[in-house]
Amino acid sequence: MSETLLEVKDLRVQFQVREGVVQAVDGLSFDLKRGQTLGVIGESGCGKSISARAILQMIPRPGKIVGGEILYHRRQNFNGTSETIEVVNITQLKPDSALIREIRGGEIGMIFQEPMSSLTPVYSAGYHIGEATSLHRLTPVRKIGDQIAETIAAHKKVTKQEARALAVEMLRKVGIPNPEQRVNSYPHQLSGGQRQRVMIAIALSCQPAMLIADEPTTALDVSIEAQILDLMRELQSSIEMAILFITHNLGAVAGMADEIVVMYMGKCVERAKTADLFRDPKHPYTRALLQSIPELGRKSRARLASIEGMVPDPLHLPTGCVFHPRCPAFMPGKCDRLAPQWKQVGDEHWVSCLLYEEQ
Amino acid sequence: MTSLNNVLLDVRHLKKYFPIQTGLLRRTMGYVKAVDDISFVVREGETLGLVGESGCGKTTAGRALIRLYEPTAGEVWFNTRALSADGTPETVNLLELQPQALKAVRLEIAMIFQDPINSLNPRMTVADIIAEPLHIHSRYRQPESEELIVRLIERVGLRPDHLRRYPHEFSGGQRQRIGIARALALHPRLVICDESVSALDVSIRAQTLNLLQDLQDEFQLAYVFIAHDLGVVQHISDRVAVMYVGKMVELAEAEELYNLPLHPYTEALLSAVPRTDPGSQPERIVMQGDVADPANPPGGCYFHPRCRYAKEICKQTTPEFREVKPGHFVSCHFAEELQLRGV
Repeated sequence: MSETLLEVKDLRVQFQVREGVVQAVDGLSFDLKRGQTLGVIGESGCGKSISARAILQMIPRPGKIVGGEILYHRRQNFNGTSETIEVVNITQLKPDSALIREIRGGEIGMIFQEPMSSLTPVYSAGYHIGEATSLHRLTPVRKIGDQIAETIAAHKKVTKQEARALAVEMLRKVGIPNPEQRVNSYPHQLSGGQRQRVMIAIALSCQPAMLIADEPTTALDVSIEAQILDLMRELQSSIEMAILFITHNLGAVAGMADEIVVMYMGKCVERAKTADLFRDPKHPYTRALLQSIPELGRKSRARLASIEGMVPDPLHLPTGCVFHPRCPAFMPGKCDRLAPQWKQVGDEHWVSCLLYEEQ
Repeated sequence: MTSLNNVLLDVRHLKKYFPIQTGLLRRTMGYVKAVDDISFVVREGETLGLVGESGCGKTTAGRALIRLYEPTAGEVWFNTRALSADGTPETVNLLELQPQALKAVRLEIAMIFQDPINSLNPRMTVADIIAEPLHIHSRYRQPESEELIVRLIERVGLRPDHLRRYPHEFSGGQRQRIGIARALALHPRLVICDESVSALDVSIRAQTLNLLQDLQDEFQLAYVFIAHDLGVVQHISDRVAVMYVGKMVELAEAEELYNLPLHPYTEALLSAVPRTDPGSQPERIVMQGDVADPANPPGGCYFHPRCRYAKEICKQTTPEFREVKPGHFVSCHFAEELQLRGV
């Protein structure tokens, strides 16, 4: 359980746009152990999705990894008793290299937000749909069974019939009723929750060592969300799989993650065990985030604590700590000048805030 | 329905069916019963929350109220001051009004939409957007209206120099504020908020919710607050109605509904909401299957295929929407017997 699977060290991703350079991810570090779930939370534009894509070398243009390392500990010749671990630095791989294509979808699966919404109707039925496409969207004009079988066939040496049988098996695992018939359905014939289940089936069809779930339930209703989260937990325990769970839904992450990383403007501001983070948040941004959700069971019609101001323009970041213009604990002359360092404040609890740098 | 003096909106048996047409001759093969016989009242200055899963008809209900969709049947009684010259209140049925009178009454009803970018005209400046309702109702007067627009934009937390800009220059939260300012331009008494904060980030959502509450206190607004997020609805609402497949299944004071739900669907919804305090998560009631198809709903109680308390009668007879306790309406055969868990 405690074996390291993925180490991200000082990852930097830049987008070169006409108006300047956007630091989408600015010095992100974390590591993930086998079978562990790491939650990444933050508001839109904080760089959480870009970080996830960097792990798969799938950063959209004009984005570029400009620094840091992503070390993936790859299991080789695993036969139950002996194994060798090969460490692959993903940032050094070309986005279309054979190795990353083997890892992508095969060893690291990925599910995105509501799959139908990212559909482009111009993809016609063709067999040459790159795996990167089939990896994160369902093609509207093809049967779901074929789409699952294709992913399996791309990563395992199996015949078409075997791949199809596996596809039926996967559909049954994710709880789709009548998988033998459903395997012939087209995506539009399924409901939103069922489509997300199919996406999970595709992502898990090759028994990946790690699953990247980017807002997997954001587009779904609460009751369906609950089903999908249960399903992910169940499948995780059956095939010792690590999950990188990216969301802005603090409730969903509380029940899923062992550990949580909080991001703001491309930087990691706090990292802690889930229970510690919710019980004793250290960073003012984390605190404000937790207080600004109207949680069930609180008194109605009380005022919500809100974070003043807006997320800054990524082209003109504030000096010092990027959160200082909105921070309730702003210390003039300090926070606007000094960049906070990554500081350990407790047992497996790190924070990047000048409030904690004096002791 | 109780008839109290301060009732602003009284909806009775509202229905909206969409025909399903097929073939060359567009023959009607059936109906999608998007809103199927719902009744409720909204009092002056209160917030009624309307929750349910996607496709349950909550948006259709909100639009049918002010005839953005022409309802199939029902009555919508609205207490208006706009029809007489001296502002004496009278109660009229919006569904029977002639176009001219309806337009006059709509002075008092505003709407805030979900998607702040698609609901703002990209080719109009913010000043024009906020002034548009005034022009439509021939209420634009120099210089009072200009002053009003400046006051509104400041009230929603933007600056007067923003008035000359275009919607694309703003962030999502700011755009939603522009939508709010526009809704308030005519001093409405009822505002229908359709998923108005769903597209916003948590911190911006909190700001917007606080703003809506402040404006309500200041202008005595009544809100019909349509949302799928149970936490948000509890936070802002005085009373909450839960919808399922076009029908209202439960309606009560917010605290009562969340603490002592009487309908199994409400109970299941509440149990499914993820909590942030690890350990406080109650045992989740997993509803089997998907939401029923409103074009082809199951017989009896629409919820029975997913209900864990369903008995034989639930498959046969449609339960009535009845007042079980004072102010607490529910449509379930076993409302009195079931011991359901709240928050």
